[in-house]
Amino acid sequence: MNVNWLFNPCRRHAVDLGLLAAGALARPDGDRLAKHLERCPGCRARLAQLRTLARELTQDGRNLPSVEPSPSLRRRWMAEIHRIAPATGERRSEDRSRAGDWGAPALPWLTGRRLAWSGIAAMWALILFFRFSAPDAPRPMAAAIPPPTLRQLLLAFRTETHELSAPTPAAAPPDNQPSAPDATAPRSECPENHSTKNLNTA
Amino acid sequence: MVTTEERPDRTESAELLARARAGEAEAYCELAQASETRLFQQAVALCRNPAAAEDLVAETLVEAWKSLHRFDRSCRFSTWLYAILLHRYQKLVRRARSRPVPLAALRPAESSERESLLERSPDPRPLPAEVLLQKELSAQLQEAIEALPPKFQQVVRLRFYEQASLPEIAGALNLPLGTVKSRLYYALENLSRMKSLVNLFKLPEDT
Repeated sequence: MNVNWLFNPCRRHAVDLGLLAAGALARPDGDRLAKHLERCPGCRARLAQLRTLARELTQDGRNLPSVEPSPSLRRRWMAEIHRIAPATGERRSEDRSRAGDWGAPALPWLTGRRLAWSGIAAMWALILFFRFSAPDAPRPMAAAIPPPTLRQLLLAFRTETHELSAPTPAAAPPDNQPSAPDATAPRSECPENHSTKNLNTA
Repeated sequence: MVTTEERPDRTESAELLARARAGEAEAYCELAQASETRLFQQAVALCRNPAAAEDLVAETLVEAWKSLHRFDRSCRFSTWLYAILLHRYQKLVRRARSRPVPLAALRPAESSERESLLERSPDPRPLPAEVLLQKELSAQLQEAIEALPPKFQQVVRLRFYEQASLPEIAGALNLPLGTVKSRLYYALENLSRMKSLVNLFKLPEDT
């Protein structure tokens, strides 16, 4: 979305300006536009430009060529209509009877593209409804395994912290390096060891 | 400063229309006769060739008879006919462009066109300079309108050449009102930026 449009009143009123120039603006929009026009010389100039154009178009539309159709034209289209009238009448009555069989449409405006979009929207609404409104039933796998007790959790935590604090043979320092501190001794800089100690004492 | 819509009086008879919709060809012919002359003049303004305009009007009136059941009275009957005329004209132009024959073949030279119009005119006196100037302006405007995309042309012509209100245009073209509004605006916007019209009508250029 173009954010400039929101903060630019001239752009917001552009369509109304065109409609005003064409003499086709409803009153509420016109009032809002009138306030804007009082403050904006650029839009006033643009309105004058569009009004000149609209005036010329209206003038041209009123100056249609003063020509009369030939009598043969009328004879021609009338003959064609009388020729096809029986077939057209039959087709219309068939349409009417078909419409009578099905009845009048409940929503006459819901046709064509609108009907297609409404169908898609309804489908999505159903999908979302069933996705989020299903009850929170336990899943079969989860239901088979009982939840762990607090003791099991504490034991698992203690085992994990012991594994982390134990030295690995591959990580032994070379001879010229200062030796590593005793793995069994608690390391004051590691907060995890405090928790382990606390657990052991507890 | 707020202008209101001009809505000319509806001249078509509801009774004639109902009979025509029921399949009575005579009623339709009576109804269509009232719009025939104006439709022909509008067709001449579009085609600039009376022979082509007659073909177009005949096609339009026959097409309108076939699809009369679709006319829902959301616009004037004459507006609906003009919308059909425009649709058929644009189809004709598209077909002519796709052929190897140039579009100019549909339009005779300026002089022969003027002669043919004079022959049919009820007052065949020599055209004064003002009328010629008006014709020149009109030709420039027509060229500019024809340079627009077809969907914009329809809205401009229905608004300024048929004096239809926006709801009537929406009804005739079977479009939402908002679409008609934006199309009319963009059409005017495009026209006002065309160099030929800027020079012709001394439109102030944007800074």
